[in-house]
Amino acid sequence: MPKAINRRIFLNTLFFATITPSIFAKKPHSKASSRAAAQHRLDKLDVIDNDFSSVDGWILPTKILTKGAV
Amino acid sequence: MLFDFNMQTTIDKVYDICIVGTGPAGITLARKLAQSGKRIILLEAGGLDYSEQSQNFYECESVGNDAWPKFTRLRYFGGTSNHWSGRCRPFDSSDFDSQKINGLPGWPIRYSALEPYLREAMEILDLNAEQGFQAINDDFLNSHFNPDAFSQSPPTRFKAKYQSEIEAAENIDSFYHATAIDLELDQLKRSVHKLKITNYKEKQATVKADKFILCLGGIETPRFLLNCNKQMTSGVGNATDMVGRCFMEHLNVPMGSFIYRDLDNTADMQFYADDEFVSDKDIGKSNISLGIVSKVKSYGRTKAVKNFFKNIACQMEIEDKVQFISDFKCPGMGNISTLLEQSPNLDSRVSLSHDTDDLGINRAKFDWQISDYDRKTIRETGLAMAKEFSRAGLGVVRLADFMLDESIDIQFGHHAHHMGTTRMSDDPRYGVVDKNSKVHDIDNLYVAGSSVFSTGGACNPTMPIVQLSLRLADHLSG
Ligand SMILES: Cc1cc2nc3c(=O)[nH]c(=O)nc-3n(C[C@H](O)[C@H](O)[C@H](O)COP(=O)(O)OP(=O)(O)OC[C@H]3O[C@@H](n4cnc5c(N)ncnc54)[C@H](O)[C@@H]3O)c2cc1C
Repeated sequence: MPKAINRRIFLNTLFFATITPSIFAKKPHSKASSRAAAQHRLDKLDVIDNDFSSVDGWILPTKILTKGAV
Repeated sequence: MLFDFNMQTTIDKVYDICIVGTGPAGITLARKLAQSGKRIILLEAGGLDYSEQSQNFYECESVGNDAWPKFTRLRYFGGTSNHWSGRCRPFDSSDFDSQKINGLPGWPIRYSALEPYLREAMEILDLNAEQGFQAINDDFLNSHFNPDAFSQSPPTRFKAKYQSEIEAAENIDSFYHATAIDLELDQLKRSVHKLKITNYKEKQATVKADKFILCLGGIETPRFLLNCNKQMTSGVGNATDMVGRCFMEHLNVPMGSFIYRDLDNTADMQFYADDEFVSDKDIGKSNISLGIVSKVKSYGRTKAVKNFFKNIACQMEIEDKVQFISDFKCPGMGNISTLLEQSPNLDSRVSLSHDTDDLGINRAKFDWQISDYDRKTIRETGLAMAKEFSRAGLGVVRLADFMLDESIDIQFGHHAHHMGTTRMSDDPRYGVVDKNSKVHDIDNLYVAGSSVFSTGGACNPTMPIVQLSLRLADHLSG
């Protein structure tokens, strides 16, 4: 698994997607500092493939992380 | 008949077959060959009971990953069956599909060569042949991981069960306190003329037989062959430097922990990856066990775990959710352990140490190594299983850091299954014995036991050892 690449792509998708997922709509991410803080909190997240991610080792469907109940 | 070699001066008879070692392999061969009327001598280095003096001969110099070679074997009548656990599972026919791994060919025989001996092996090991092999759990839905079916031996202790039969057998002379120390070859160095034995003191004798079978286990058999170096400097059967190479274990990896969504579920599970998964990924076979350690209730975490499932299922900002999950320090309800196939690799080996035992014989130098292929087996299998567990709605798996981060060394242990060190191959460049378990280039020397396994699958070795021993007995009594 090319971890670093996956992770970067995933984070880029979350932060720079042209259509912001509704989950991010609640809080504006305009300030660089808040983005850095959020990114730091996402450090424990790794993308495994199209369907799954790991958070601190817990293997979870990515849909659960981005949308909640599936 | 059973004799203490300490009380004996010479062994004058000439036997049809000399069997060295009284574990499951040696005793199975002796009983089966005796039925065909052969005159058998059966030799055991240890006594009738455990002794420190005998066990100390199993001390090794360990330089690679440690698999506790002194403690995972027993050196007395009945061998390691005196403390094995009795889990039995046959090889699959796909274990014999001969593809190369790490440049080494697989088995030169097909499963059909072993299958005829399954029922008899099950009887020997007190397994219920009518019941067959059964799983303890149900399937994951739409998954590559099937419930693993196995059968549990009581476990059969070969000394307790078969000593009196051997004692009563007219055509078996069995000697204990008789350590095999050397082979004397004929002038052409094509066959074994005599086997030299000793007790723990000065007493020595030679044994003459038409054929000799070594059943000393996966570490001691190569050690013995390498130490037979007076006439052949690199050891007997070692013209291609294969004796002792390709030591394989089954990998026991503490992959992580799990939580069932249903907190009242206390069922253990065992899964076996199917052939499609194994060949698509090009990895080894796997058995994965999910074992309950503690009920969530019993460590007062019911609320926290319920909360966890509730929160991960609800809408929340992703950073908060990630933070919440990272803060969830639950040890899990149970642990994930494995019995994974290790691939044969030349660097994993038993050779000779400079240290010597009480008889002045070089001890085994034990260097257990895993390969990148094995690392791939471990990581790919664990990740796939964790995903299937989640997909099936059973709960969540937390994988250990080394499972996801390739820069961290994998933790793994062993299963006391010592395989591959005199592996079977038609081509002497890749193995020590041929498809009839005969040592290449030596006309009357055979090996029985898991040291002949070309690959180890993900099944426990003792039942296949017994099947292969029955097959060898058939071959030699023909
Ligand atoms: C704790 C434990 C649990 C296990 N559980 C399982 C299980 O659940 N399922 C399974 O399939 N397997 C299990 N095994 C493995 C199983 O015990 C072995 O596969 C089996 O005993 C191997 O049989 P063997 O006859 O080849 O060798 P051994 O049983 O090791 O016998 C070798 C014999 O050779 C003798 N010997 C050694 N050197 C000499 C010499 N120079 N001269 C004369 N005699 C000598 C020894 O004293 C011994 O009697 C377990 C092992 C351990 C340690």
